Amino acid sequence: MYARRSLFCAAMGVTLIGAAPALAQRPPLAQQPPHLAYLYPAGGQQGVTLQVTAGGQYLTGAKGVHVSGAGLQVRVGKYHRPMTVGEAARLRNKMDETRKEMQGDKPDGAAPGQGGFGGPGAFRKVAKAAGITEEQMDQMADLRRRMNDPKRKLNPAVDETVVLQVTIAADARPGERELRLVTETGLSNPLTFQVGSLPELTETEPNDKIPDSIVRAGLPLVINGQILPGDVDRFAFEMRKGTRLVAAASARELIPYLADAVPGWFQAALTLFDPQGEQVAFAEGTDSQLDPLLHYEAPEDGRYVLQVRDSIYRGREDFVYRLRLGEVPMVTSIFPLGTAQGAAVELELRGWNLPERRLALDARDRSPGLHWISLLLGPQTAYRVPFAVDTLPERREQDANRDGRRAEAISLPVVVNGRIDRPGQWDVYRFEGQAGQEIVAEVWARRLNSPLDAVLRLTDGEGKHLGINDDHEDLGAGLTTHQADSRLCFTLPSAGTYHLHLGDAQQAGGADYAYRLRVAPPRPDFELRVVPASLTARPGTSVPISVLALRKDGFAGEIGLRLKQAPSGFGLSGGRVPAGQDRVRLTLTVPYSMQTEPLAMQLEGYATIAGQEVRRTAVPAEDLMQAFIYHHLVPADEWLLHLVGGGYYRPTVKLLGTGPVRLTPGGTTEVRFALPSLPPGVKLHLQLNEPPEGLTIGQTRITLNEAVIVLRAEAGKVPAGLEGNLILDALVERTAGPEADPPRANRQPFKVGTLPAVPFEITDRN
Amino acid sequence: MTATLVLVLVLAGVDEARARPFESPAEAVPRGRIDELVFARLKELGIAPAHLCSDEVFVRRVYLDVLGTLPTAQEARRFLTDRDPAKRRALIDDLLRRPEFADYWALKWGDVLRIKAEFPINLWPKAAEAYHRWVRTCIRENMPYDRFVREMLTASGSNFRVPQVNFYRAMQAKEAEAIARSVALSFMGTRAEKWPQEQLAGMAGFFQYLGYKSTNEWKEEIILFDLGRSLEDAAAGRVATAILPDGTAVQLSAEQDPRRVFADWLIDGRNPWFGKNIVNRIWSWLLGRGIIHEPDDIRPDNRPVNGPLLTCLEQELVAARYDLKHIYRLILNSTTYQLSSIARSDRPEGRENFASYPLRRLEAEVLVDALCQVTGTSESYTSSIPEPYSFIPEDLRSIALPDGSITSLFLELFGRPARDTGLESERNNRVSAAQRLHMLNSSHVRRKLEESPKLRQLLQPGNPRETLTGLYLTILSRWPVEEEMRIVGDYAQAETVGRREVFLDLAWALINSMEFQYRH
Repeated sequence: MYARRSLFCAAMGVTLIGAAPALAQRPPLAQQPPHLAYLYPAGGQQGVTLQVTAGGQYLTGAKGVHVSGAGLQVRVGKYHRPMTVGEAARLRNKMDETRKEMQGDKPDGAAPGQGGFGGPGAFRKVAKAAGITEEQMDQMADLRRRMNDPKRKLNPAVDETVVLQVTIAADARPGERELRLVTETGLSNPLTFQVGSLPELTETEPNDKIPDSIVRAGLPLVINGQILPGDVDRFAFEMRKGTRLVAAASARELIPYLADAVPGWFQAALTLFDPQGEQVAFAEGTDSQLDPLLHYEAPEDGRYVLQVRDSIYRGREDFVYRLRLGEVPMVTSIFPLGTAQGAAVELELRGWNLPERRLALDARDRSPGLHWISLLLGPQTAYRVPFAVDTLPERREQDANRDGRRAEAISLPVVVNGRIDRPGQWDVYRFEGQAGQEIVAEVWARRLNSPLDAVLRLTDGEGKHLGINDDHEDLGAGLTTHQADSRLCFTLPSAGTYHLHLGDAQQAGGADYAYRLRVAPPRPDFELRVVPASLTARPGTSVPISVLALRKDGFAGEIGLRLKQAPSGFGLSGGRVPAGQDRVRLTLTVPYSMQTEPLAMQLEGYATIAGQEVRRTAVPAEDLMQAFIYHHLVPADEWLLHLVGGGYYRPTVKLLGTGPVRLTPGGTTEVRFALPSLPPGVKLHLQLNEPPEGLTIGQTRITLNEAVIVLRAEAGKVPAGLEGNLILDALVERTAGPEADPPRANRQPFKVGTLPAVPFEITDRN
Repeated sequence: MTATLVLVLVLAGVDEARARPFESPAEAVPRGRIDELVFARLKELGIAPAHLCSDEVFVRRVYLDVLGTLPTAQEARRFLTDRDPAKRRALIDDLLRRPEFADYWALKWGDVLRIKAEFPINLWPKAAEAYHRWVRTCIRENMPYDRFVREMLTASGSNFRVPQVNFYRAMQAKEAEAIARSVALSFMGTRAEKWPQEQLAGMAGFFQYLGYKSTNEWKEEIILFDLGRSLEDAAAGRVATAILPDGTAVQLSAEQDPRRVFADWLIDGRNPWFGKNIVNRIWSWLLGRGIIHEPDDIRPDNRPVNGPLLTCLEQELVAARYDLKHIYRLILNSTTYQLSSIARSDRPEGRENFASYPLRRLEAEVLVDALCQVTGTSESYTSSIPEPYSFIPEDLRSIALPDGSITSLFLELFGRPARDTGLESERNNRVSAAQRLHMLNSSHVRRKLEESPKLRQLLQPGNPRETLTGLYLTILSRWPVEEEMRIVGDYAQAETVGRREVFLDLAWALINSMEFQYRH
């Protein structure tokens, strides 16, 4: 019975909360899932139990935490939300009324004093009489302090907190975890929590002028800090002459983008001062390092001070950092940046305090693609670097090429591992081609943490300029804001010799400026990203998801989408990326289930390429906004679904008809839905959820058992050939209820669910 | 108590130097090539140079001119009691090594280079901060001037990570001719908009392939040589040419960044504008007026008042491999620089030919820092462009503000430049009634005095003469003279106010004196 019901709902449509008593209040579905803005501290040492503050919005009802990987146990503690201005005003009004009543009893009451209440004593007396608790009084005082502080702004996105008690197992693998908060209303976005092996401490404020002395703690260690408005953190420590200090901050590594910050992340800056107070080193994030990395060899014994701040002196609760400090190993670059599948490779390491300059890497069990690998640098440090594995033959650039003496001959297909060793250098590769031959030349450098801003140029044997590319965007590289890698796709005009010239667009160069250059016939393929990485749904309902196709080397075919190894009852509606399109919104419908833990899901794409079926698992990602403008797909470890609530009676809304909805540019069409009997006093609305530009609902007619929407495609905005899915939200409005005249707030339409996606096509003719 | 104060003040003796605080009685004599050239010109004009300035004036002047900072009472006292005849030279060497030197001259360069986040320059906060930090670092490390300029003119990269590229962003327009005008103004001291159109267009040719590439980071911009466009032009048979300002035509190679050709020409020791411009500017910054005036308006019909002097400085710069501190040292150690501000002739030619040190009101940033220093207070600066807002640490002085858009009512009132054009004349040091009122009667200044932790410490009960001396050294960097002590004594006796009020009133009077508010 349970399974049959869930199948019915998944197939037929959205469910509505139908029972009139249930409509007396907005259902939890109308509430927002939690959003985590920061964790502080954002990491800890193996074998330690620590308190972590999780800050964000909609955190009430926190009841659990989901952590990726192993070795962490988390207990949820106290929730706190600062009083809002409206709440304080209501309490104040209540006190005013109480005071008037009290003064009415005693016409010769206390003289006006604090807030018109006649002094602190009288104020408290009135508050008590008004039923206001000590805690509420404290919250009101706290709100006053915050509002009077010119450096603090009330910000609902970071104001709520939940205390977490995190226990890190002694054998927990050092590295990053994703932590998500589970509340009554859903599953939060993931945030990074780092596990380390070094001792840790948390900064002690104030340390703006007089440094926080960490002399006794000794180095190396990890400092956890938070830059609040107007804040600068300073730490003092002793160094002996010859100490090779490394100070490596993690800030953007923890929270890559801040939607409501401009610039769009905490731009940590490190400054080192010598015993005389002179600035001797400074570091900020670079093209190849997201966060600042400072290195300094102490020329004398003494007390040094390290300063941490935002580069332009901003600050907020989510400006959280972790600072690794001491004579610790640090890798600044590796070479080569990748290898052929099945090969072992010896990596050259560049950096500081490295125990070894060469490291053997066995990549034989790695699949083709980009991998984050951990380099073990001594007993306490594992350093993560991106590393590419490919199926093509590989080679290293030759010295003659590096010296710029002559073009290096290559046979296609090939991946060349090279470096732009000097500013202004060009590496030139020569190959023979046939007329009409299609070739792709693609550089992988910035995506592999190389500072190279590649520029790629093609000339023929006589040096005639045939094409040039500077930057080629790869939406899959969500943490790369400057898409600096180059790609040329060309058809050779005639048989003969061709030259590929590879340089740095900024005319820079050096030992860190490594690259991988693939020169080969096109390899049509695709990758997928599924957004968001955390889903919250009520049993038996649908949720919208987005899938982005990263098409490669000209592949433009349709990509089918399906759930991979999903439990019974789960289904997709609109599960295809139409040919030639890069993005689709669809819905995931979940069954009635008593599942209480977040459920790991997988989405798979499949397509026929050169007669073969190719399958690719979608990488879960969060669509993070930067500076109110830019969107970035930031990969997550897991695609998780969390079910909330249940037990409601849900009549369904059913799409009438089969096949996609078709309409022409400038045209309209009707889409019909069967409606269940609605409770008296309840009205249904349907509205489009993030439709393609130009697609609108012109009119909605709702009768007793049918809803008809008139869909309009605006000419000039909706092109013929566009395909996709319509996502429709169902909203209900109470027009009457148990009371004759319900309050206005209860009459506002509110969302109760999303219908399964309805495919559409824009055609030239009806 | 008041009677005691009066008694002590009246009985206090003062020596000759203290009675004559502004100039030395000795006749000024030339001490080097600069002085010989200046004095020779004055002799031609029949104008007597002023006397040498006193040690009291010198210590204050050289701190303000080199560091944009008042000497502390302790620093002034140490210099004044030093009996080493070479103490002025030693102090100059010491000041040129101080970190405030980099702060103050980064401020000056910030004006020239238009380092400002907001409209109409629109560097935006992070780039303004990075650019300022780069300029300050170059000054701190005494980067040779030719390299400093070449790096700006030839740099490629991100405005956030290669700060010197912001030279090409810190201007109101980005067309090649607008860039040429900015280069000419900043590094040639000349206004190219007054040139014949062909000359300007010829110079603009060196900047025609400058590219501005945006990224997906808010306000990041990569400045580079647009190789693709250059190759396309070459492939289409459009031969790119450019003409150096001296009239030499240059055929550009499609694969070569033409900015380098221009930069190499500009920084050549024989270039007729490059060295002349910077030595003239430094002279103007230290002596209040250029040998060519205005210092950023060099043109054939605006002749130097002393051609040999300008040539001498230019040769010194080239011989010193563009070490600007060498020029500072030469000028600061000259008798000409150390002349008193009390002119012995009222002929305008005297002022134009440096017969005395010119009186100039302190720049807005220097003045408010001086107020903060003597009172032990600080200023609060914030910027609402970023989100969340920037709050500048209170220990960062106004001369070290990185961004011209971060300002205050005081800085605006006292003529801080908008940094819109890079013209020297953008800074307005003229005195206004509103400024006087602010200093006399604003809550800003009054609060600094009344809540001053430093004055509270200075005015601790003790020997009134020491208190008075401490106040004078702190505010005016000199000893009080007998007449002043008498006046204070009379005031204390006549008024019914207490000791603290007497000294607070005195501090108020001193900061409202021209001696405090002016370089002299």
